[in-house]
Amino acid sequence: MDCVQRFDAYLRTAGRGAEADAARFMTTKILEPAYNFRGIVAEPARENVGWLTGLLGFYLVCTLWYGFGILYFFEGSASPCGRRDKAGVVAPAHRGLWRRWPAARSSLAPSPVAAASRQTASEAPPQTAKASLRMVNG
Amino acid sequence: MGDRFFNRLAKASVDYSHDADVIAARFRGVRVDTVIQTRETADDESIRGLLAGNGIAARVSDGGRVHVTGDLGRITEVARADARLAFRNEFTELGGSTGRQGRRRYTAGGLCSTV
Repeated sequence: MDCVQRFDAYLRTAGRGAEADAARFMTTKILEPAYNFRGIVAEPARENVGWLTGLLGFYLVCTLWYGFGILYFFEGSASPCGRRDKAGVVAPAHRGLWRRWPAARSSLAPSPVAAASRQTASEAPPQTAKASLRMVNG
Repeated sequence: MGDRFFNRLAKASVDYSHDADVIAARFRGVRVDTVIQTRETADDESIRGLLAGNGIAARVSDGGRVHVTGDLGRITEVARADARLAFRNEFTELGGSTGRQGRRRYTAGGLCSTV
């Protein structure tokens, strides 16, 4: 292989780029694979469709499993990654899943302080628009 | 087992022998004249013999160098033929074409093919 690189360099310095490319192609695409894969019988992918499909499916399952593991880890650690509403509850990023799993929803109940403030707000008499304007204008 | 399985698939995906045929046909008649510095001086004579056996003119010059003169298309054809034998694991035939035995046989074949 050493001499091929020299051959390639010679052709390049001689201004014969096309021949140099051909020499490099022969080295990297023809000779090196034949040398590196010696003793191994080539098998096209179409003869192993079942194996490849199964492995790809396994890969996807593992990826999703791992991704949800990370998601629930941060959710369980109460990391405020989502948007916080007025009551102080962190809205989850995965809303569809959130609606389907009420058990998970109830586990993230609002804090007692936020619940108390919400209750106070609901007990207060509702102000009309006119009353609010009066307060603003003095 | 898994490693071997993926190696089999990978080997099937790196078969560029058709492209090598195209290149050999394209550079047929293009002459090259170069000097090769071999790693071991003892290999010079064997390389010269291998090249001469494949119809490529070569002579050993001073300082462990092999002067090669020949048709690039022909050199590419020889390279492709040797690589194809190695790719198909037909090492007995490769040894017959290069006149070398064992691992050294293949190395010499590779050198011959790639000059």
